[in-house]
Amino acid sequence: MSWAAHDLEPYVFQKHFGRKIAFIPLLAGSYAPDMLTKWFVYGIGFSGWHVKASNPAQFHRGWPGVGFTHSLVFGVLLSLIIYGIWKQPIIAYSFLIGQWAHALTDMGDTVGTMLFFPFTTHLFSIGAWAYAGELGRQVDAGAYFSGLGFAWDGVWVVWAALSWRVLTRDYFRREVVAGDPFFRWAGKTLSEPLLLAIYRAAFFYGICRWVAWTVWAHWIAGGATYKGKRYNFKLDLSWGGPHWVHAIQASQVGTMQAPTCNCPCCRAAKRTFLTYGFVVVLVYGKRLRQRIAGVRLE
Amino acid sequence: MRREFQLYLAAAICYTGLGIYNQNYLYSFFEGLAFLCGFVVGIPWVIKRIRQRMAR
Repeated sequence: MSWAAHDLEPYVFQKHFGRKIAFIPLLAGSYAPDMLTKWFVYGIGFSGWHVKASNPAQFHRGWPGVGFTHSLVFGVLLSLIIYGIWKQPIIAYSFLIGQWAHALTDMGDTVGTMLFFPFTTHLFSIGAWAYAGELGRQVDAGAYFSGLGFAWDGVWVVWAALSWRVLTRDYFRREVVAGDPFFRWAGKTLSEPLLLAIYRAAFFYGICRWVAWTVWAHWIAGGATYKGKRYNFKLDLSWGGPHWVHAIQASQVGTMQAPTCNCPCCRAAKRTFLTYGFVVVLVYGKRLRQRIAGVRLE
Repeated sequence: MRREFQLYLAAAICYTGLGIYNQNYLYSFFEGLAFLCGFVVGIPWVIKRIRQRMAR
C-alpha cells in the first residue's frame, strides 16, 4: 500500500498529458481500489460496534477477498461501465489510467496485487516495503514511514512538487477545465475559488499527510502499541523492511501461492526494479547536465 | 496570487498540525477536501460577509 502516492500521481499525469486527460476521473481511478475496502482493513467503530476483517491482507489483496479491485481487468470493467454511462472516452480512459497506476504502485509492498485476476490469482510483488495492515492503522503507518515506502512516497512528493505549475490558476483554466467535463459542468454553479480548491485538494492532502505521519511517527510518538505489544518506529530502509514488524508475505495470502514463488516476475523483481531505477537516474542526470550546460552557454 | 498562496500555506500548516495531534483528521481524502474548502473558501467568505455587514 502507498500512503501519499495515490494522491499525488494524478498531478504528475496531469502535467504530462495536459488536456488529453480528465482530472477528476483520473483521481477517482487512483482512489477506486481502496475506496470501498480500506476502512475494513483497519476496522471501524460505530456506536459501540467495531467491525474489522479477520485477515486484513487476505481481504484487501487476496482471493477470496476484494483483491480483484487491484487488478487491471477490474479497471477495464469499471471504465467500460463509466463509458456506458457518460459516453465520453476521456472519462473512461482517465479513470483507467488512475486505477492501473494504483494497482501497479501497490505491487511495491510484500503482499503485492493480483494484477492479472481473473486469469490468475498470483500476487505480483516487488517486496520493497512491509505490508503490516493487520497491525492497525498506527503501527502500519509507523512501519510504512520507517521503510522504503516512505522513500517511495517521497519520490512522488518531489515529483508532484516539481509539477507545481499544474496547480496555478492559469493552468487550471487553460488545460484542466478544457480537458475535464466535470469542471465544465460544475463551473456553471460553483465559484472558481471553490473549483480550484477541489482540484488542488488531493495535492494538499497528500503532502500534508506525508509530512504529518512522518513527524508523528519519528518525532512525536516514536512507537505505538497494538494488542499489548509495543512497536518502536526505528527507521529501516532495507529491502522489505522495516524488519521490526512482521511483514505479511504474498505466500501467506491465498492458497495458490507457493511459499517461495518461482515465477520470473517475483524471482527477478528486485534486480529488475533496481536496474530500471538506475536507468531512470542516469537519464535524469544526463538531462540535468544538459540543462546546466545550456544555461551556462546562454 | 501571493495572498492565495499564503492562504493555502496557512491551511497546509494548520491541517498538518491537526493531523499530528489527531490522526483521525487524516483518515481519508474527504477530510482533507472538507478542511481545504472550509479554510480557503469558507472562512474568507464568512469574513467578507461580516465586513459587509459592519460597513452598512
